[in-house]
Amino acid sequence: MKGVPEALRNLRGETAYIDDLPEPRDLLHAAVQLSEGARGKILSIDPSRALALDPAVRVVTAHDVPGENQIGSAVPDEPLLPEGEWEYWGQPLVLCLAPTRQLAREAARLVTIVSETLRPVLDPREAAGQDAFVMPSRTQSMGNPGAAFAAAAFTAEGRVESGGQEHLYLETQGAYAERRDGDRVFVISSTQGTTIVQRAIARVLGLPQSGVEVEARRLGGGFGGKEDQATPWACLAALGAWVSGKPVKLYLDRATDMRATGKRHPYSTDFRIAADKDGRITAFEADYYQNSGSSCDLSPAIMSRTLFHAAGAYRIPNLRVTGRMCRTNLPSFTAFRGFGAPQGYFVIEAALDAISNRMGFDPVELRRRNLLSEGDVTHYGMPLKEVRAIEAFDRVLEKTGWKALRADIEAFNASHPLEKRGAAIIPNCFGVSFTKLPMNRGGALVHVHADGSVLVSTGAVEMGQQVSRKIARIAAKSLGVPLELIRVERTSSLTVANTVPTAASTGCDINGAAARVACLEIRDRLLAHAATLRASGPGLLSLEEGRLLEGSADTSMTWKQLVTSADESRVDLSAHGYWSTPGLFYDMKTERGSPFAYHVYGAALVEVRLDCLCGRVKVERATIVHDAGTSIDPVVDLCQVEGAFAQGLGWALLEELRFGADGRPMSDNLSTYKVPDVHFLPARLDIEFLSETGSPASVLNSKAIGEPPLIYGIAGYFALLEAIRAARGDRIESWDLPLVPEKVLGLLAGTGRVLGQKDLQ
Amino acid sequence: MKAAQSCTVFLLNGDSICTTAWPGTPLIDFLREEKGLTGTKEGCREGDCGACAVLVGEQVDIEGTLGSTARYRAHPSCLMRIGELENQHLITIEGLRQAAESSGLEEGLTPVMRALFDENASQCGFCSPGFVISLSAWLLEGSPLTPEAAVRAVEGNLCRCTGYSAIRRAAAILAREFSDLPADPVDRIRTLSAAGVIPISALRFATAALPRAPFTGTDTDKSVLQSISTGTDTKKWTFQPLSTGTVTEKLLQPLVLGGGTDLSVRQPHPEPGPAVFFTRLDRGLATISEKDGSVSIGAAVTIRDFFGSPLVRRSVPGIEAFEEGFASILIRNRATIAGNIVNASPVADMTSILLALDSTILVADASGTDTGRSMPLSSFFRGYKSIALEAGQIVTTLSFEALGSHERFHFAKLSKRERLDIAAVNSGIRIALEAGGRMVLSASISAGGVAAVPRLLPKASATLAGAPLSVETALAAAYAASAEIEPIGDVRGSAGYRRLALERLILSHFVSLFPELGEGIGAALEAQVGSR
Repeated sequence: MKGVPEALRNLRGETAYIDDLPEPRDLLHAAVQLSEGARGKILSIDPSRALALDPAVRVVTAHDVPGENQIGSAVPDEPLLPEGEWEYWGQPLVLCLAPTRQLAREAARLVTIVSETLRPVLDPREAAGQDAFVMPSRTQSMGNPGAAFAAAAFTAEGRVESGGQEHLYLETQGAYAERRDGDRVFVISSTQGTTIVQRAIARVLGLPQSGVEVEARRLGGGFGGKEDQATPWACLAALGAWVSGKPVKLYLDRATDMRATGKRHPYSTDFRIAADKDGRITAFEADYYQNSGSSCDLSPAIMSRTLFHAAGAYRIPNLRVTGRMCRTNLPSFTAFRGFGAPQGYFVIEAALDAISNRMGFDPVELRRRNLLSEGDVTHYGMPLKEVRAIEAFDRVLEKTGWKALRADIEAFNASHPLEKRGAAIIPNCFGVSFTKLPMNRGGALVHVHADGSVLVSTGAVEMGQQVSRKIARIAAKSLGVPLELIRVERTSSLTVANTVPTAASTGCDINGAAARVACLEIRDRLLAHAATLRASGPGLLSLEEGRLLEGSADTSMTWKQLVTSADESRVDLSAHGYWSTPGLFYDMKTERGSPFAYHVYGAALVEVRLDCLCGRVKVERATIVHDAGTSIDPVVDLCQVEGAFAQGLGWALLEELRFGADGRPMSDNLSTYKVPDVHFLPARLDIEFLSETGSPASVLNSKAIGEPPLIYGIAGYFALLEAIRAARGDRIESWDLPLVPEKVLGLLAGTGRVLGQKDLQ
Repeated sequence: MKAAQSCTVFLLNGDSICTTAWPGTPLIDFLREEKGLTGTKEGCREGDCGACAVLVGEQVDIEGTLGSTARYRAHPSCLMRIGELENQHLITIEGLRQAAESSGLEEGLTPVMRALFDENASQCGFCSPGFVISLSAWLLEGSPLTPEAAVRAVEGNLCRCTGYSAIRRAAAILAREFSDLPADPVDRIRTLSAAGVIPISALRFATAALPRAPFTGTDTDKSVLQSISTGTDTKKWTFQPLSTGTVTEKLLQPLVLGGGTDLSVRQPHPEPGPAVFFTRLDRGLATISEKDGSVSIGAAVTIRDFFGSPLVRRSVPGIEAFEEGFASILIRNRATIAGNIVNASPVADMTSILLALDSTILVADASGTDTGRSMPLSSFFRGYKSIALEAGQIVTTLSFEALGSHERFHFAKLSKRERLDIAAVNSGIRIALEAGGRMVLSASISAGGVAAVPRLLPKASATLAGAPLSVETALAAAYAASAEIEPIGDVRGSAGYRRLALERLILSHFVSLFPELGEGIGAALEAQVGSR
């Protein structure tokens, strides 16, 4: 199967991202000065040196905000530009406008800000000790964990650390803004959510939302990093355009982007786990300390997903999990593919690792024994349907010849003193829907033109996940026309309003479903029209691949003829579609309900090879069995699994977000923050989709694909841990992700982590 | 010479360019802002992502022959300055697009674009032009068309969407499609331009007789490139070699630039103004030669050419194995030997290699004679980022003695990511064995990342002199090394890690050079863990 048509333009170098758009002659470039210090107070701002650079330079501060100087979506704790205190190292303090980018950057550098530094808090546990939370803590529970621990044959406990992760979308954050007609603005934003940006700009400029037009073209990657975090840049560009009356472009260089924007939340977690003598998990408790960073952002929703995924793919009858969202002086941690679930997953997998060690039980067998099955009820009270955890796990065992592979690895390890292999298998059970219920809706606007061509606009933003290709397929299938007739347009507040961000893997589910609603409505109008033409019942007529059928017989009437005829007969060939995911409910008081439309299942094996001398690691292979439902586009889904796995593996073994003891960003460019390259990923990556059975509650029985496969990367962590154990000849425990070479060598040499984050300058 | 500084002349895709822009202008800015060629993307501006890659063709000498040939390689345009393009052929993604269009290829896709498209290897698309460039370079270079070589060709390109699997599949398609590319560079260019992989201007460039000196920006110069762009015959030019003899004049330039792979990272948006001397344009600085067993490497020799040189490979058997740990192919195509040294990074890989080889560095002085002065490379570094090079001086040559039959060389590094990453610690060793191979005569061990400067480890080296080749000897050298360093901690590694890493790297020298010691060293390590 071929690639998607948008890819043609990408490969030809024709796709225009924000910084590639033609620039109007009077364009002003914008640049920001970032705070140098993790916490401080602005005493005065003197723009004179910047203004002296060039008469065209303009310095914009908080005082220039005509509306409310606030962009926090959940909690009003994010001023667009701070007036008093700033909260993290790298926070934008002032905006400068100038005719060239170079001049704007120079001006931003020259604004003199007199400030006072304040003592930052960086550690989430320290923040918790001071009751510094972005939102009150939250607990979910089931059964009676206390009694279960008391009665348990085996218990284990431990602490788990997982690090942050930089999105590293290849296109950095940016926005272009124009003031139009004096009283409205037009903004092109590299955002995953046009409405989020629209709402924030309206608030900042004191405009009605209808006066703010926002469009998102293709994004050069998002991964959650442009869900809430695109907002400040769009607002700053709009503010610049508003006060200057000229078009303004704000496009961040990589270092500014990496310093100023949010990343995946680091977590520090305490757990305990209990099992009976047969290796059945009887109880689990966890206290998650989420490092939420400087503002609330999406932290509560992310914690919500952590709690929902606390038990992973396992049946645990007694459970208590508590999430604390700790305010610190680091960049506001935010959405990143997986959205809190990977952090929860890593903890439960560490707990299973711990209890298998305590019992002397094979970790793979222990995991298998505790997998969810049909009819199990989650700790939040949701009965599970069409559960495929065991099926996927067993398929991985079968595909990899697990028993023989394990024996082979053991034999290899016994005969290679300086090299060890290790493998681990991780199951997956990932709930799909926004955990914030009101967000589970999609919108679409479909125009069928008189020539038969079809234009589909939805709330879904295209950022490389190829959602537009899937929506085109849904539209083609729903209308009964060839795919070539469908064009999916950019996302714009003019075509679809009140959208939700393209996130939570739901982009296709909800917007595809909305497009289908609109397409079916138009199709029905056309069939009714055809029925009058042919004096037939509409129920007898159908459209297939651009032909009108009566029963199963071709009527010789084409789609185009039908559309032209309908247009002349004044049939409305446009429709708005709206979708609200059915069956969702949740009671926050009792923490019970059915928050997900369905779950995605799967399992993965990762095998690594370890150089015991130097601590070098090579991921040798991965085998993934994944449940994509009835895939709308198997090629797109395959590539999504591959990409998500790569990011998960990067998070587990490579990508290390570092801050100094003073909160200084230390991994703020590509030479200090390493993401997977082509050598890092295994050449042997075998992905298989589970057979298309059942009927998931989503559009055309498909299943969401964006986030769930990221979980498989965690298998890389445990595979490496097994190799390290083989080298050491013991079952050392260390759950401190990412497991980078420095930690590996420390474990191999028996010293553990040589130096912690805090010891850095 | 004034005219040469006022106008840079080169071929951009099919057009001849004569630009008066400051020669130090970053190429990416020239392309995107001046020429509106926005297919070249800025992803990081430090050569780490490859989104801005372009193809650069130049006419080069083949080592050991008198002839010259055209050579196209991929470069990150964020690190390159336009002045360096003098006399060269620059191909951007737009140029490849034109190639596909003028060849009448379906959907305007070159075969490389087609393979990536068919495998759905472009998702968000921001990195895609860079991958197209790198894979096109792979076909152009005459590298083996194996999966391994394809992976190497794109090792400098980051993709955050695909996980690279689709890109690997696309490379496999290309390997099949172009399995019988001619070995001769010009024939290969002919085949690839006929197939629409690259524009026809590449063939004209490859077969044109170009002046060997930088263009002077005169009408005659322009007419040569014009004739290439229009496809008319070119007249023969006389060979005008430059040499270090002209360096004196160049030394007075305020900015001396090798590959710019470090300077352009530190100065991503340079202030226009200073005249620039591009060492890579001086052919006298880009040669590798041998005299009486002494190998001389010109300052402007790139890392790629160093490792690719048959002479270097003959002189230090096995050295080519260490190329792959050095940055990425995009960087190796640019970074120069002298640049790696004068940058004085404590973890510079090439410096560590040359230190262990006991190299001598030759410095030319503007005020003195051309013979310059030489010193051991180890005394070139005075302190953190401080070197024995005054204003008005440049490094011209590095030289070392070829390995004797009783000598071995090894280099190893540790970094967070195995490839395209700056080392936390690196180390090289040159070791001489007595005739029977059972005893070490002498050794020279280098280490990077363990001090303010790249350095030799005299104490560790001394433990080896006269010692039997054994596990105990290896361990003693490793521990001695650990005892004679005072590393500091930073984002690439804590002080403790660096100490341990150096021990292990030194042991890895022995395991790699003398595999028979592997088992014993493994047992010693296991005992270490067990004793804790």
